[in-house]
Amino acid sequence: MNDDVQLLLRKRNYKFAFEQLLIRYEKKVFGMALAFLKDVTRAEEVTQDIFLKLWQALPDYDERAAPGTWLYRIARNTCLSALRTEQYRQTVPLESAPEPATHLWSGDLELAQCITRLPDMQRTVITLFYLESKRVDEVARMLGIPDGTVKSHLYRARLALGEMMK
Amino acid sequence: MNRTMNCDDIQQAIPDLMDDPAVRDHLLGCESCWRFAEYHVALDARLIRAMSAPSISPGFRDALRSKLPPHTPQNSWPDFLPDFAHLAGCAVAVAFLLFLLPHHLGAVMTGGSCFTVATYFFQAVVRNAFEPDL
Repeated sequence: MNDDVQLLLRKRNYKFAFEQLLIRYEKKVFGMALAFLKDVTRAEEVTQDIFLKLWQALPDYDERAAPGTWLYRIARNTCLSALRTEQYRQTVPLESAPEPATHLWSGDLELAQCITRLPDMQRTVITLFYLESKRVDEVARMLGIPDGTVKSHLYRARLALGEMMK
Repeated sequence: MNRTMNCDDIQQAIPDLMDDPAVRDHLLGCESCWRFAEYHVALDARLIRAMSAPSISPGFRDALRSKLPPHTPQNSWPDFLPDFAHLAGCAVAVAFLLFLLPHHLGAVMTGGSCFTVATYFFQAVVRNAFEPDL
């Protein structure tokens, strides 16, 4: 898949390369945005921004990383930047702020509430891990961190969840 | 997996490496790890059940495609061209000065080298400033 896209990019066939990446990564990138931003509408807006940035950057693709890894880097930077903007704009007093959305864990409210109480990185890692069918390597690629760091965040997140639900 | 794993190693491997023979052997002989494993396997199953895959709006792709601006024509010049042009320009300037000032060889060579290095870094900074921020 990555090879196909690389070939299309080499031939400067940006439209087809973009379509391939959109089909393959749209849901993953949306899940990533949702894990970071915790809001469906905002996550969808940010996903659009990510793919727009990807489209604009396609002519500059230099093959140093696989197209998917490159897209994840754009996605991660855009999500973090959106998150910083949200935090900066956050002027609502803490007690009246709405509960963080739990859309991704809607099957179990108690668990969803415990997950929202985890530190940001642990929450993001555990969410992406279960979203990505328990693939440590894919989560590591999405977040740009080593596999071992993903495993360690997962371990700590599970321990914390265990404590919270005792 | 190492056969001499201690309880910490085992608990870090649970529930993702439950099928590993070393983990299974340890669990059979260690009650606290067995209880830890039971709880975490159940938690893992609960997390799997609770996760609902996100669904993106049906009109997402069409809305995105309508926003895509056309690409500006690509610059067909190779990336190394500015570096090459800069070095060639500096070399020509130094050679020209050597021809004009044959009695100040050392000063021309030193000045030319310093100028080449300084302008190379200046050029790198300027190029970096124009690179798209991803």
